[in-house]
Amino acid sequence: MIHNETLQRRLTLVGLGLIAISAILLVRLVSFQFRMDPQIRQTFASQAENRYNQTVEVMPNRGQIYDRNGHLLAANSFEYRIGISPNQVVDRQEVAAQLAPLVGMSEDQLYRRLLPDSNGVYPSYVLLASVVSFETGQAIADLDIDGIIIEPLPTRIYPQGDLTAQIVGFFAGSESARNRRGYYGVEGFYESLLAGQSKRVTRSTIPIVEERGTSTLTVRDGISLVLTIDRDLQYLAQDVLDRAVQTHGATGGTILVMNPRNGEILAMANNPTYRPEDFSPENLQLARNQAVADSYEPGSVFKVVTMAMALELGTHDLSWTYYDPGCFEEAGVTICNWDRRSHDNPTFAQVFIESLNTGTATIFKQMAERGGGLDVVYNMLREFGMGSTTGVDLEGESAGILIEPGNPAWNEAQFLNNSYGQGISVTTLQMLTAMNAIANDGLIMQPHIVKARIDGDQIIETQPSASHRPISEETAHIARDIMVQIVQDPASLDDYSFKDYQVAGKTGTAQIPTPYGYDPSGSIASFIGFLPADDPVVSVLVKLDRPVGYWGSQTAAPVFQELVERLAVLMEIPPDNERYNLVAQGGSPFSREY
Amino acid sequence: MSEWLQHTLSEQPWRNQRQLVTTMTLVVVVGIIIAALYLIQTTVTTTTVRTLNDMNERRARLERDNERLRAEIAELQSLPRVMTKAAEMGFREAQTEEIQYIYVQGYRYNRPLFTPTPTPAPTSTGAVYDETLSGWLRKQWDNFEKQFETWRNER
Repeated sequence: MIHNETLQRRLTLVGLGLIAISAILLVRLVSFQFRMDPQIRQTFASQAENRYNQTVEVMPNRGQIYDRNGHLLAANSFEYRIGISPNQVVDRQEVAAQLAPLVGMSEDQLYRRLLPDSNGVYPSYVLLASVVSFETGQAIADLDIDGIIIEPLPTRIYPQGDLTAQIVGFFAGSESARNRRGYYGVEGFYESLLAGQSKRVTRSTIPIVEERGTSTLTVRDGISLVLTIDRDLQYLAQDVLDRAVQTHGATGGTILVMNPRNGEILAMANNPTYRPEDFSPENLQLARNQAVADSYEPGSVFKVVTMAMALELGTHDLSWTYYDPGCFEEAGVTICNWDRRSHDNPTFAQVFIESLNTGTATIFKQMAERGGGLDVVYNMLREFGMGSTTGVDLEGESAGILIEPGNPAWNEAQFLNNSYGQGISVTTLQMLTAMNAIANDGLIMQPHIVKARIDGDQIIETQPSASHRPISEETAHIARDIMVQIVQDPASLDDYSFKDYQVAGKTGTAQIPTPYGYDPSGSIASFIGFLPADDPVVSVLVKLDRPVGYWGSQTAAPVFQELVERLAVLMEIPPDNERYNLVAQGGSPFSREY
Repeated sequence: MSEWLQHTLSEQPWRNQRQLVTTMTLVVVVGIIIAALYLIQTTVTTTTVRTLNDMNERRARLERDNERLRAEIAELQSLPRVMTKAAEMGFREAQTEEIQYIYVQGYRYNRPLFTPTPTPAPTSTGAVYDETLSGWLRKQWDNFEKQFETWRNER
């Protein structure tokens, strides 16, 4: 009986003890659930979130880049980052044997990575290769190994290789998919459009739940771009340029082909160029597009601008003449003709036909005197786009250099030098755009390289727009006629002849400035022109850097001739007599798109 | 008879316990049935989601393969290759004097319109469900609606 009572008491005590422990646990549980320190609550919440959810960025497809005829210039491809979860691997030895040759590790090295750490815990993720090629990634995926994590990293393929490299630019960045972007050219300029919009998605690791906590943004693929570039013309320009650089022993060069009627850039070839898939520093040094990024003193091709300015300001006309001494002293410098000889009393047109520096310097001086001061001349230069970017849609455009009065570096000698393209720096694109005013009846069209944007099913065409009107239609026609005379001059020593087309053009041989004056050992030889002169559909600038032949008329001009002869066939521009016949019969050869 | 009735109606202490046990057992059985149904549904959904994930992965891989093939085709059609091949086949560039121009009444040349290959549409994200009972019910309702829509379209 006594024994029973003792047992009863003890059981009661044990029961009370258990109830007390349960109560404490319950109180703690309730306090954790409802009255917890917000910081602790947040820590637990984030731990739970991390355990059951993973946030991933859904990357959009980058927009593609085409030439004007739909040839692919930049396409998407992938590389892969390879990782593995050792805690999910069953047969480590076999996995190591299968993967080692694909990720560039020894079998032993890879096997060690699959082993537990010093605490005996298998890591949930081990990186095996930060970047492997598309083919290797696909081969690893085909092995279907448990625990393997294959993360695609977007990359670009440029099917035309270096042909359009400096126009298109390149796509690169760190090993993370998010930190890759376009650089230079179209890839750089249109980065935000091409890249599209990604979206962060939080996914549950429990497969029943597809997504949770998604951002309100939608994944939007990048917009594809259709360029004004014609791949076939680009190939022709590059081929002609590469051979010209070799033939004339030049250090480099540029050929730029445009449609002066609408500002479209049809071809833009540079030498040297680079390989868009090679990211070595020495290769990437060549990535900038010299035609828009590098400025140079244009030399005598700039005289076409001087000519148009003088005619437009009305300070000079075709009857104007002056005495040419061959050389003269002005503003502390000696200005000489290319042959240092006197040409007696040349007319306004002869100044340009014979490319007389004394004539253009005199015209410039008189423009300031008769036209209303230096400001008038510099306003005209700015109207032609000197000293400012053209606004072309390519990354890395330079504005060139136009030193104006008020600038400490300005002096009168420099002003006179500007008349024949020295002491002023332009890019190839600026120079051709300025001349396009003459080709296009006085109107400069905004140069551009994107012809259309493709956004899903929508194709949005770029509408040509006028940029400036520096000269009137009448002035443009007079200037054009003088440019035709320059090309057709029977007394010319220039090494070219155009038998099927009337071409308007001008040669240029520019000295190269150095910190110690002009370099006597080399020149920049160029030729600028358009055809057919009476109804232009194409304008071209050929520039050779430091050719052995020195003179533009002997080096760049024959290159221009070869280019336009082949280009006319490719663009189906009928020879002038054929065109006149077609027009006489009621045809309209230029009603088509070029 | 009266004895039997009295026996039946009389309150027996074990009778209440048995009723309680029966009720609890019934509750447990119903609970187990509901849980089993929920589990079966969850399993089916999980399997479907896994299959969908696999299919999504396959689709992504096929899209990547397509992109790669498109680039390869473009590389094979690149001008240096085409020019080399053309030269091997005996073709050469035409010269200006070799081209004959004729006037065709009413003919108007236009370059073919540019028709780019459309890029694949972005992956649409499916409806969002969670693992709560309301999520499950919503999913069932959506499935039911989808089936009804299919049936209506078929008619």
